[in-house]
Amino acid sequence: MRIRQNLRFRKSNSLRKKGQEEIVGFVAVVVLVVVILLIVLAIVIRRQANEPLRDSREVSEFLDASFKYTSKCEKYSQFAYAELGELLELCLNSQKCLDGSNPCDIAEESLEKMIEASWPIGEDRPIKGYVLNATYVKEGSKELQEVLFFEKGSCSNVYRGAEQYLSEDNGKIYASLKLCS
Amino acid sequence: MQLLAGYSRGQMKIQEMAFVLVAFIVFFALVLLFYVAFRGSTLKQEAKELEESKAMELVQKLSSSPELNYAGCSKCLDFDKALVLKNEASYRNFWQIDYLRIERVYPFGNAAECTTANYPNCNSITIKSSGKDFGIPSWAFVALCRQEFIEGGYTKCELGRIYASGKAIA
Repeated sequence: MRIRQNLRFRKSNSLRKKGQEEIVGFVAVVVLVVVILLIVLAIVIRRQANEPLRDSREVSEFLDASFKYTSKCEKYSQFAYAELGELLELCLNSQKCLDGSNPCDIAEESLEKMIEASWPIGEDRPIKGYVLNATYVKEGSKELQEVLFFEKGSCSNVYRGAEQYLSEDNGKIYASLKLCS
Repeated sequence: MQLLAGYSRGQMKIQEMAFVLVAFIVFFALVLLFYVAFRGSTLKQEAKELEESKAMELVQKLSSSPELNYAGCSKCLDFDKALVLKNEASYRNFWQIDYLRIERVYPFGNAAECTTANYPNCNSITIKSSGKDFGIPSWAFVALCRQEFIEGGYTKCELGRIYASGKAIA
């Protein structure tokens, strides 16, 4: 009788152990799958966050079209108005307009008005601010020379942006506009 | 007694199988959700890129056509020509599009549609607008150039946008 009871106890004990092992195995598999999923998710999210600034067609076209804008700055003779791209060149070479006004100021003012006419900017808008940067890079050199820089609003997160360049004597002027959200 | 033990063991096995099946279903549902979300985001990006390339093609096509291009300037639209085209009935179906409009963005002047009477003190030229539903038009920034006859005469370029919609673009 005792032997039979002992046998039954052992049998049920081994069954319980087997069940526990299966549960542990199942939990291990679930944990493993969750960990793998989390790793994949983290990689995808990090890749999206580290993605370099995508060249926005809209901003690129804006820069391209705005360089052709006819300003009020007369270059060398009466009614020979400089385009915005030419204003940046004048600004780089520290030249003045015919009436003595500063081309850098005119370029900044025109660009500011054009940006604000193109995109509504404000704290309660999708675009909270912007940064415009124009730098000159001499051919064969890595040295950067600032031509124009201005920003407005808060710029914690770059929403979209683009860069365009203008060919200048012995180098290029790179103008970039970043819209921030 | 033995029969009962057999039953409970069988029930345990069925229960285990049910748990595993439920776990599998939950797991695959999660994987499917993850995949759908990921695919959805890439689809949105692809649709945006497609829209952008369509708009780019449209602008290149329109701004390089001699009917609208400002001579000597690539990607520049001739505002003077646009006004002429607006009044030219034979050009209504020239590009086979439902909607074509050019708008000045800066400097923003008189917010009126251009006519021969108010030009250039106006803001937009609608070359074509068919009555039917043409959807949301594609648009792009352009340089709007025209001949200014005052102050000795010079080319004046401003910032504008071109809007177009139709089967030829869609």
